[in-house]
Order: sequence, then structure tokens, then C-alpha cells
Amino acid sequence: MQRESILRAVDISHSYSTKKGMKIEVLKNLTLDLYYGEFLGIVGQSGSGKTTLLKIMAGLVKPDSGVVLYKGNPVTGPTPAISLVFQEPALFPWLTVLENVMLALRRFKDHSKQEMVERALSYLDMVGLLGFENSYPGELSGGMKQRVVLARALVTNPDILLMDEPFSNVDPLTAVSLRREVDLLRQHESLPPTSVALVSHNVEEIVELSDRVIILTGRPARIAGEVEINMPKPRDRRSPRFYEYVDEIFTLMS
Amino acid sequence: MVTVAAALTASWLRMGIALLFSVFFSIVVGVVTATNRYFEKVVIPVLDILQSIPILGFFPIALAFFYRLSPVIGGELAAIFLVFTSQVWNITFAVYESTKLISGELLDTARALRMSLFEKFRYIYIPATFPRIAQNLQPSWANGIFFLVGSEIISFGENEVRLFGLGTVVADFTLKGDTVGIGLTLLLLVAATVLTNLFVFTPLIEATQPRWRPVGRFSSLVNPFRKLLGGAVRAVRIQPLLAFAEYHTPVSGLVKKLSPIPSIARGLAFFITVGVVLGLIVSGGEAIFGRFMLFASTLDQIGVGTLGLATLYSLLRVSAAVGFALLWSLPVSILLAHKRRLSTTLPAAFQVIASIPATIIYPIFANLLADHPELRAFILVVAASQWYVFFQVLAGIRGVPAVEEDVSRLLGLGLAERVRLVYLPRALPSIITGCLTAAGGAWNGLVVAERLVLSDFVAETELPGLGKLLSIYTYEGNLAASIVVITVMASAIVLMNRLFWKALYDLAVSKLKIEETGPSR
Repeated sequence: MQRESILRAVDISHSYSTKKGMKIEVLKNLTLDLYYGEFLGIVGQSGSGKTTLLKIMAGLVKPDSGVVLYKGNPVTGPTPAISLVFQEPALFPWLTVLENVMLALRRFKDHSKQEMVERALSYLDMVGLLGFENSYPGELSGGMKQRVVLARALVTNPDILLMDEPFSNVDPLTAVSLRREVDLLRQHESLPPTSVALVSHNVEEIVELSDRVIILTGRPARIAGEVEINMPKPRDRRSPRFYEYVDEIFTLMS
Repeated sequence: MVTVAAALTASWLRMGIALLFSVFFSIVVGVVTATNRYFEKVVIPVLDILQSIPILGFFPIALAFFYRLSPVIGGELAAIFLVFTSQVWNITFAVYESTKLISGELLDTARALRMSLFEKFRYIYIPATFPRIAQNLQPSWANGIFFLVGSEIISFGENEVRLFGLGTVVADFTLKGDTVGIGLTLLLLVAATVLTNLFVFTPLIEATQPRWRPVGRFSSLVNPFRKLLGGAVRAVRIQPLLAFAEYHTPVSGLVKKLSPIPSIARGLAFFITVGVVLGLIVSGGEAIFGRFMLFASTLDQIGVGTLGLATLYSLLRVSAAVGFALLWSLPVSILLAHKRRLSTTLPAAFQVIASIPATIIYPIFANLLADHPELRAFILVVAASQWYVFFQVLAGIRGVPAVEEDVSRLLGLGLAERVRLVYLPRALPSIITGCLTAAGGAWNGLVVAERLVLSDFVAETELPGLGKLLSIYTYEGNLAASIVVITVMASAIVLMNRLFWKALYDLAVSKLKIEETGPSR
């Protein structure tokens, strides 16, 4: 099956230098596609360069070599078309929930203030936080904060949503409901984003949400395998099929 | 050359002895204050007032006590005492604070083990407080040099003590107009300062770090210091860097603890009592009641209006200096936070520049700027205060979490928006702390800035000021009048700390919804 990629990372290499002047290669000649309409899971052990890869794909970090193509054009810096959700809910504590979400709309100069407020509110409604718009992040639970971040990431109507372990800093129960919500948002046809890439070290989480999984191993990271997951959503975590996928991925990881 | 080197050695010895006394005094007083509740109630307010007294305020004590004690070595002791007063308070507060942080379980364990007092000091108090002490040594030293010039020429009325040292040598050069001599002195001073920092203070700080972190070429000195100090001092982790900012942080921490009105009332009571006692010593015990009357008549004689006007002008100078420091510190800090390579070299260079005492360079430009006395004073006040602002602001801007930087880039915020929405809010508590400490430094600096006396050379402002007033009365030997001026000045400092800065800090913290984790160090 020939599919068209919306975001393509081509031959990416990147390394960090430590304080002692040593170079650590995290990514080497990595090529990866994110297709139209898919939910891509990227799984790998901690320290395998997943976060770096995501930051490069979002245009936040410039790779040492290689290029990221969005719809065929190189990504040179952060763009509203690509949203990134960080591991920790990065909200500004001195701004209200609404102001935090509206921050993402500042770059659209043609919107009136009223339009911006309405738009932000509708996205807060979508993540179930209507009524909390005037609260400060400090008054919210970890799960609620992550929802605000999700609203902020989606409010610009991005084509691509990149998520870096978004469920790892919330308690397990909240994580379950957050995952369910992300899943539901995906079913919503009129809603952005077209494609999602989720990075995680939690294999069950990846299998539950992804259409396709890429397994990264080693340092520098390379692609150890790719698994298509053909299971209807919502997926039952206790079904034998589910576990077959989990086992397959674990085998590829080790 | 030989004279200058000898003078430098003499001054360095004086400062070293004073610093040793400061550490000893701090460990004893700090620990006792932190462990004894009754003592704490008395000592903390007293220390709070003492630290706000400018060095000139200690002249009468230095002379009355030490010089009368023995005219032979008394002068030397008096000078060491004066340097001591400019070095000791921050160390004492640091010891007090870190003793307070020792966990109760540890102290209970010590009790269960029936440790003696000596053992408690050996195994608990000294190891727990030493890292903070080490960090405070360098700023204390810098502060000591700043007031060194004033400490070596002590005069109070007809009594004048001149001691051989950097201060007197510079004064002589200035009087003779010997620019080459001043330049040479300056060069040696800078070299000595840099060497002292590199070979004593930096290794000492490094030696107290729990983990092995080499400091480059000078790391060979870390080991001997470690051996000397034993392993125990490495037990407490403190944030490295920014030792300069450390100087007033304990003081600003204290500001949050005391309430305004009682501390001012205590201040007044303190000065009147000390004033009377001193008056008794100086006058030899005659006419006790006459002394009381004297204060009232002195106040009358100086004139409330004069005092008020002087306070106003001094306040303006302090505000201008702090404002100026903030104005350049903010953009420079933001720039530094973004340029990785610059951010390691430039602050290090600034540390060196900051450790050069402006009072030593002052005589050079005092003559050059003789036509602009206000500008001259302004430069000196700025020199006495700007680094407190800069290093705090830098720490604040650097404290912006990397993820917030990423988010603001991701959201495409412009520089102006980033400054307004991210940097300023994040750094505001540090900015306020920096301004507070700088204002304290500026008030003390005023005493030299508004009127510097080097024997017959006098550089003063034309407009009135509290520092000028204090200097005039001190050198005249008018004890009652200087006590009145000191009281006004210390009250102004305490009032500003309690009413203005504390309120501002609380407001900022509550507005910003930041969980308070103490001043950023």
C-alpha cells in the first residue's frame, strides 16, 4: 500500500556534547514518515533519543544533519501547523487557563480578541474544562493541566500533533481517561489534527492508541522494526490479540 | 612598588584576621541563635539593626573602646573591628539559616547518642553550616575591601588613627596627585583579589561540594582543602555559582520574617540605649541626664527639615542607582541566558570586575569629575550596588525552565512577548530580591559616595544627603549628631525593607502564583 506522508524526517543525525566535551550521538541517519490520517506510535527505552526526535520534527531543535519535510517543504522552525505536547504540563502559572490557551493564538493577528476568546473556550469545552477558564494552573490537578496543554496544542488547528509521553506524569486512572479522550478526539472527523505521533516507553499505551508503531533502539537510535496494528478502537487491553502485539513489540525492542 | 606591596600585605592580613573572626563569631552566635529560642528573640532584631549600620557608624565604638583600651595596638584592633563589621553579618545570617535547616531527627539522634556540645559542633553544626559560610567568604571579602579605605583612617573629632595599608597609601597618592602610584596600587590589588578568589575562595567552595566537580586548572587546590576540612563539610548540597548574590540573601530572607512597626520601634530603642551607653563611655560618666537632653537639642540643632531633605536626596540617589542597575541588568541577563558561550565567560569576568573595590579607583576619577559631584557620587553608589542586582537578575532569568523556553518558541512568541509573559514573571522575585539587596548596599555606599574623606582630601556632593551629614558629624567628633543621623539612616533602610520591598515581594509572589521556594540561589 502506497501512502503519502505529511511529515517526513530524512536522514536525521544529531548529537549532544557533554560538559566534558564528549559527543554523544543520539540519532544517526534516521528516516521516518508520518502518513496522512494516521496515529503513529514511536516506542523506545528511556534515553533512546525519542524526545530529541520529536523536537526535531517540531522544528524546535535543528538537527546536525538531515531535513524534516512538512508536505514536501523543509521545516526550519516551529510552525503553527505542527503542535507539540511535552511530557510535563508546561503552563505558565501566572496566566489563567484561558490566557494559557490563547497564548497559542497570539500569532494570528487577523483574529479579533472576541474571536480568540470564543475559539479558546470551545477547545476548553472539548477537553472538558469549561468552567475552569479563569482558574490558574496551580489550582488544577495534573490531568487537568495536561488537558489545558492539549487544548492549547489543538486550538491553532494544527495538521500534526506530536506528543512526548503526555500521560507519564499523571496518575494511572487519569491516564486512562486522558487516553480515552485522545482516542475520541481522533474519531471526530471535522477536528484537527490530521496525523498524530505519540512517543512513549509504555508499550501497552502505544498499542492501545496507534495505527502503526515504530520501534527505536540503541544509541544512536535506529529503527528496529515497524508494526501495523489492525484492531478496532476502542481496544480491549485484556484481549489476546492485544497481547500478541505487545509481545511482538517487546521482542523487537530487546 | 615595595611600599605598595607591603601595604597590600598589611591590608590583606587585616582583612584575613577580620574574616577569621567573622567566621568564628558567626558560628558561635549563629548556632546559638538558631538553637536557643530566647536568644533568638533578642539577637535577630539586634543583628538586623547592626547590619543596616554603615561602617562610619562604628567609628566611635572603634575609637572609644579599642583605642582607649591601648593606644599602641588599639588602632590596629579598631581597624580590624571595622573591617569585621563589614564582613560578618551575612555570614552570621547564613549560619543561622543553615542551622535552622538541620533536621530535627538529626538533633534527636545527637541527643540519643549523648553527644557533647563540642561533638555537636564538630559533627553537626559546622558541617551543616560550612558550605554556606564558604559561599559567603568571597562576597564578605569584597565588601570588606570596599570599606577598607575607610577603616584604615579612623578619625573622630581630634582623634585620628592612620594605619599603614592600602587605604592610607591610596590616600597619600591621591593627595600627591600620583596617578602612576594609584594605577600601580590598583593593578596589584586586582591581581591579589583575583589570586585570592582563585586560590582560596573558589577551591574552598569547590571543596564543600558533595560531588567531585573539577574547576579546571586550579582544581589541584581542591584536594588539600578537602583534606584540611575533612569529609564532613561535603554533606550538604548547595547551589554553586553566584556567590556574589549570596551576600545579602540571608538579610532578604530575614525581611520576610520580621514585622515592620516593632522592628522600627526596636531600632529606635536600640540606638537610644547604645547612644547613651556610648555617651557615658566617651564622657566618662558625667551628666547622665544632660546626655538625654543633648539628643533632643542635637535633633533640634541639625533640624528636622535638614534631616528630611537629606533623607530625600539620599533616597533619590539610591533609587537612581538601583534603577540604573536594573536597566542594564535585564537586557544583559536576557542576552546572556541565550548565548551559551557568553553566559560562562562574561559573568566570570563580571565577578572579577565586581570584586575591584570602587573606593580604591574612586580617587582617580574623583579629581576628574570634580565639576560633577553628583555624577561622581552616582557612579560610586552604582558601583556599590549594581552587582547585587545583576547577579540576582541573571539567576532569575536563568531560572526560566527550558520547557517554558521551548513552549514560547513553539507558540511563536516574539521577543517582547517572551519578555513580558515569560522572563519578567519568572524572574520577578529574583529581581525584587536583587533590588532590595542592592538598595541596602547603596545606602551603605552613600556614606562614602556622598562624602569621602582621605585625610585632607575631601570629595563630597553639593546637594545634601544622609551619608554626607553622617560623615561631617563623625569627622567633627559630634557623637550625638552622628547617632541621630545613623538612627535616621538605619530606620530608612529598615522601613524600606519592611514596608516597601516586603510588600512588593509578597505581591509579586501571590500575583504570579509561584510556590515560594526561597530566593533563587
